[in-house]
Order: sequence, then C-alpha cells, then structure tokens
Amino acid sequence: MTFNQLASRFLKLPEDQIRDELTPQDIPDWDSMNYLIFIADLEKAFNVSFSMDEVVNAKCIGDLRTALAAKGAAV
Amino acid sequence: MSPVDRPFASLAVGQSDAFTHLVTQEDLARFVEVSGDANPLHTDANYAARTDFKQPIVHGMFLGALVSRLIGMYLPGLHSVLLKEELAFLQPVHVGEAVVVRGEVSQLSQATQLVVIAVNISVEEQTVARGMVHVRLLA
Repeated sequence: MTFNQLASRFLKLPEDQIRDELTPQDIPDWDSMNYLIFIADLEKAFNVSFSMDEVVNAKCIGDLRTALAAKGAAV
Repeated sequence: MSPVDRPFASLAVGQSDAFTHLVTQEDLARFVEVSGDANPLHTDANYAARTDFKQPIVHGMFLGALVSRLIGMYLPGLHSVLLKEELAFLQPVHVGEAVVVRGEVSQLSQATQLVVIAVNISVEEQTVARGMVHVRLLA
C-alpha cells in the first residue's frame, strides 16, 4: 500500500483529502492507539523502523512522510 | 495459572505459542449470558437443524475470546494490551470440539512496542478461523 492509502485508512479520509498539514486536531479518529497501529503499518509497508523520537515528535502527517523519505522510502 | 512474561526484547519474528481448548456446553451457555447473544443458531438445535449448519454452532466471538487468552496469557502474555483484532471465521465450530489456538509473531515495532501476531484457530488440523492482532506491550 502507498503512504496515502495507509494514511487514508488511519484517518478515515478519502485519499484525495490526505494533506501533509493534517494534525491530530484536524482528525477525530487520530487517537493514540490508532496512531501506533499506523506507525507499525508504515514500518511494515516500507520495511523501515522509526525511532521513538520520530514517533513521539511527529506533529503532522508530513512529519511522518519526511521521516520515511529520509530513510529512503518512496513516499 | 499466571501469564507468561515475555518482554518485548525477548520476542522474535516467527516465535509462536499455542493452547488447546475443549469447547463445552457450559462455555456456550456462559458466553450467551455474558454477551447477551442468544441467537437460536447457537442455542436451539431445532432451529439450527433448519439452517445450512444443521446443528448449533459456537459464537465466532467465543473464538475471539480465546484469542484474548492467547495474547494475555501465552504470547506475549504479561504486560499485553490488545489494540486490534481481526478474525475471519471460515468453518463452524461445535460443542465438544477441541480447538487449537495458535499465534505467531509476524512483526515487531520497536518504536511503538507493538507486536503483530498472526492467529490460526483449528479443529483437527483444519483451520476454522484466522486473523491478525495488534498488541502493545506496556513498559
């Protein structure tokens, strides 16, 4: 699955509404448990591992996309 | 029985555990009481005989409850919190059958302390349900 497909499933938003600026304040379904599952899904899909700092400090969808790109993932 | 204590660092992809449970009429009656699901497909032999199943079947979520036992008591055991459970029920299970509930670690996420476990439930080596669970290990 692509980053946007996984984000769409996590945020329960259509893919065309996935924007890097989205934050937990924008999305009612962005709860902490769902977020952890999203992180694990991204790690599996892109065969990478996040650090605890990356997980905790990501403030928006774009931060995760940036972190993945820095690991060489095609996002 | 106390839950097995398997810290995150001790887990490995491919690690597995399993237990066997003989489903009894008492299990079914207690599940009806706890869940409130007294649908006759589970409780009324005459009704069930008129369906494709021909006899009462065990609630799918009773098997889901056994998955809870797998996670909380065996793999990973102590410190587990079940976050997500997906199960597909492939074949009916009946009272008197022994189900084998098996889990195998398929993914470990160090940053989130999440463990993804593939679950297979079988009767006489035939898969009756399978799925995936996401478990978090508490520090």
